[in-house]
Amino acid sequence: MNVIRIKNLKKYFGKTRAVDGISFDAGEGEILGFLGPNGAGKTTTIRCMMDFIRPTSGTIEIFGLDAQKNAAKLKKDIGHLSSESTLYDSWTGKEHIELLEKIRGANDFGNKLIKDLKFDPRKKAKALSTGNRRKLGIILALMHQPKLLLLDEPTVGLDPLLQNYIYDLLKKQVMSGKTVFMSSHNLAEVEKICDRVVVLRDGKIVAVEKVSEIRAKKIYTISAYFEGEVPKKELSGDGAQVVEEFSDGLALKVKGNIKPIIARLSRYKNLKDVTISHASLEEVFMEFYR
Amino acid sequence: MFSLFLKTIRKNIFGLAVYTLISAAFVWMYVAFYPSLAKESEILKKSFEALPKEFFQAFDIEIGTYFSSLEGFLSGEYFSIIWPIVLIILTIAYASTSIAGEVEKGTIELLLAQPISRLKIFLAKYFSGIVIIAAFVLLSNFSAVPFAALHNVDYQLQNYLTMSIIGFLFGFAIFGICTLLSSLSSTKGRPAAITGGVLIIMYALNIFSAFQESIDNLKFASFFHYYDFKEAIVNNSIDITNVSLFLAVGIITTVAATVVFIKRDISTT
Repeated sequence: MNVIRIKNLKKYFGKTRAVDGISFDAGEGEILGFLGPNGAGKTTTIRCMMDFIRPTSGTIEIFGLDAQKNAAKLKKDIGHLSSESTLYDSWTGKEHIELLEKIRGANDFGNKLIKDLKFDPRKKAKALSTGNRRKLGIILALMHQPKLLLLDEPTVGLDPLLQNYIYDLLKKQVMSGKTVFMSSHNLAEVEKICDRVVVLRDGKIVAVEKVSEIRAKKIYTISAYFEGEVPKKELSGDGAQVVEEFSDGLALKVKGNIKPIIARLSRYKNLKDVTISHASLEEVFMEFYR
Repeated sequence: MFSLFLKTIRKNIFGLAVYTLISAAFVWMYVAFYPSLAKESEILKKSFEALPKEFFQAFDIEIGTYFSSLEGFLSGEYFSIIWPIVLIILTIAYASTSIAGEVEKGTIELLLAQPISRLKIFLAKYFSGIVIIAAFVLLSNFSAVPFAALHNVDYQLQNYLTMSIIGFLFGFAIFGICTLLSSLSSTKGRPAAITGGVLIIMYALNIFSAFQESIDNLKFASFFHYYDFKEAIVNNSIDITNVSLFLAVGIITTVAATVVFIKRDISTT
């Protein structure tokens, strides 16, 4: 069953095309990453899904219902974390939690999160550090145990220990059949927890792939070292591209079959050393952004 | 919705207390001052009569009633300028912060993320504002009663209720305008500045129209013309035209503000 179904979503602000015709689905029990540089349209998409802003055109369905027409009803099952952790400065954490409990109903899970995150709910929001504001935002988003989590960069400002706690928490949520849709800049984070990823650039989707498939894409980095002259020009072509030059060699990025470039390198008698490595996930993603 | 309504009132209770105490302090000062002034009323009347008539017309002060009762004195000293200024500041401060201020700070997202319709969010914010204005009007106006008793001054209880009605309606109309601007805006400064600016122009129109007969009709464009405090506090009566105008402005702007808030994009950054 599709928990999220977005079809040809467009959101324009005047002449700015923040989101320009994107379509994707997210299934039950899935962690879907939403990756893109600043200004790619990630937050705008999430705001459309939350009905904070209205699409210029296109449709958003959540749990099979129109996200705009059924916004209040759907939000019973949605936990949202904004990228800024927007809180009332003069309120304590407890006051924030109590208001949401009055609106959504009380739940012991909130207390568990407070304990696990080592959060002090007696402090006023204005006295909280960035990390603690984020913790409170996470508590508010998760405390009612929603079926769908829409998280805008959930681990920004958290230390690595807390990041890992959040990853474990999200994995547990997913194991119990919940769905997580999270935007991120952090590739390591996406690689660690997401099942699939939607890659966004300039408001358009450039890829929707499984993380494992992206990782398996054949992109290599070959570093070759020579004694004397470095044959830079001769080594480019056939899917190989010089990406870095050293005093005694160069680094090549090779897409696809590496046999031809290996064969060419082996013809150089002054070749003294070669290293071959798979491209990192980051390098693979950078391909989408070029 | 009710929990949000109560939370919003609680959040603003300190501000309400401050504004009410400021107004009550003024009332106490005038009530305490009135007995000694009443004793010297004949001498003061004569010196007042030496001033130009237009001066009293502009500020809607009637020398005859000014010294004859506490209500007449408060009418000229307190309800003509000090009280409406405090009411306007309170109203604008609340209305501009309640929606545009929340959008500016981003806190509106926390509310919009909850399973409550936009209409309910708006109504919770709106009616908490109405309650705050009503509480201020009643508390500040009726503060004259215990102070009058304390200083053995005669007072007309009913007149303070009548004054509260026209005062509340004046605030209701301003609140509607500022709430509409607040619904349209994403920064609290803009609705506050526009409403404040419009009211200053209206006040000036009311004053200048009293000085010059050729521009006399301009007073009809001013809320201050319809805010007939003297008639309410001194004579215990309200013109139905004034009530109708404030009600109409308040209702129309409130409906417009509701529609705008429900339809608009709320983008916090």
